[in-house]
Amino acid sequence: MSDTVKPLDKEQHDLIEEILSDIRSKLWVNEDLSTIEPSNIFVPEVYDVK
Amino acid sequence: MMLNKLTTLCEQSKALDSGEITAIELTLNALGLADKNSHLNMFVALDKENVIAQAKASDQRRKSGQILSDIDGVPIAIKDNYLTKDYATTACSNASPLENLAADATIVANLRSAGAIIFGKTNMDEWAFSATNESTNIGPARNPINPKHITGGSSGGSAAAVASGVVTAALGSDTGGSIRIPAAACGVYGFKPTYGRASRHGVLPLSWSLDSPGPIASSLEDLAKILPYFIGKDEKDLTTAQAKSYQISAQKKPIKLVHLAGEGLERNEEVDKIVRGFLSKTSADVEDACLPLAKNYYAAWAAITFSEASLYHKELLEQNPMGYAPVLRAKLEAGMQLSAVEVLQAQKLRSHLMTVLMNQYGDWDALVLPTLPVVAPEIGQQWVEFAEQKTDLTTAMLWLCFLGNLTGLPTVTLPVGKSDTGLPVSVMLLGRPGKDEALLSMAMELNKSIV
Repeated sequence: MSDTVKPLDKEQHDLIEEILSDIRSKLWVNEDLSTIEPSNIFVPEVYDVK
Repeated sequence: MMLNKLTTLCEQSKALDSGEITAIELTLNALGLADKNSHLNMFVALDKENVIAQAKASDQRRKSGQILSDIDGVPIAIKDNYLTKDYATTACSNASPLENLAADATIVANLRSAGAIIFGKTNMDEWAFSATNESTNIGPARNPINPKHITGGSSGGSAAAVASGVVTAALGSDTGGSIRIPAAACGVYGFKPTYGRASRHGVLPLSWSLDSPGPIASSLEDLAKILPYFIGKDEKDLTTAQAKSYQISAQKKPIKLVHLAGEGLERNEEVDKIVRGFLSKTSADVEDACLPLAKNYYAAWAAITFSEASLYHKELLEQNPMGYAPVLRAKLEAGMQLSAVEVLQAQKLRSHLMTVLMNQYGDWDALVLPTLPVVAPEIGQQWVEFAEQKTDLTTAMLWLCFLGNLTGLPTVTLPVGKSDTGLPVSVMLLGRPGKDEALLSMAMELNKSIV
């Protein structure tokens, strides 16, 4: 454990904001994903229909 | 025997087998090259006595007719996020609590059992959470082609160790391109296996569902020689439960490639020209296609990476926040703030991407893109410009590679040309899931058009 824990500074807060804003602005798409299930357990092979 | 002529693992293996060289000669030569190239800052730990002892033991086995494999006596460098019983593992971080954990990752154990010489731990981005190898507690690794330039990351030390000829193979790990980015930036070869075919046991995670261990090597044939030690079931990593062991695969012809380009997959003109030039020389059928949601898929990759990394680091971050570099601490704090719904949406996009790639581009054998949209930038450079946009260095490095991780597809990178400034340009092939061997055979076939 460090002796002195500094709070996050402005630069770090700005970076957090930038990261979240960038992700959130692109996560939601104008595409119908209603039949798509999230891949929580990811097995690439199951997608291959070839 | 001129040791400096043994530039590939296959050549080293053959020379050891024929008795032209000994493991100790090979190892002393590697140690000499590591010293000579110390300015490249490739190694975070290199125990000369330990390495020499391993080489002597290998020579002894060979003398008594008890060699363990055809890589017995070959030095192989290890990224510093693989646990190794004879070296501390720090992930190049001041926050790491793992320095005294004495164990081998499964892949390290496999190589050690085969008699390979475990040759030091290589420089990397702190906890593998970047892509330039500048964010490390020992300072940046430098590109052997031009030391003013980055190696790329996060496995930068491993790529530099191969590109400078210290070793002919090294271990890397890849969550968004961390094997392929430095391999491409340094002009060597790298392979990321299908997710679930290579054991992650003992490799410090960045993002469980995206991480894949793999090799960086001096040639495609070297990758083929070392991949069997990566691929196969490991009871210590349940994601490998269905993994088949490595089987050599013959290449079918003709090869059908889909070249992905367009919005979200931009690259600079010089890189594009070299890649298209390479493709035109091959005998493959090449079709161009775009990927309409490429930028959205990148956001999905980022959401999964940031959230999984933040969960892995949660406890340590609370205990020792100052042990992390300021930028990494901010990244981990950002990951904490993503909601479950957002992460599930990212997982939906991940499924969508796989559905699109497997159904909308015909019966392809491999998808092809440049590995990097630009050549290796200079150390300290903040931005790169390509396709009329200014992009931060880390994002630029990940720009195309993340697709290999979000899909879990096997992926190989191979150098195909040089820029006007002499820096390497590489192509990345993504194979069908579980068809790692076929992908490598295909890369070898396509590579014939360069040689």
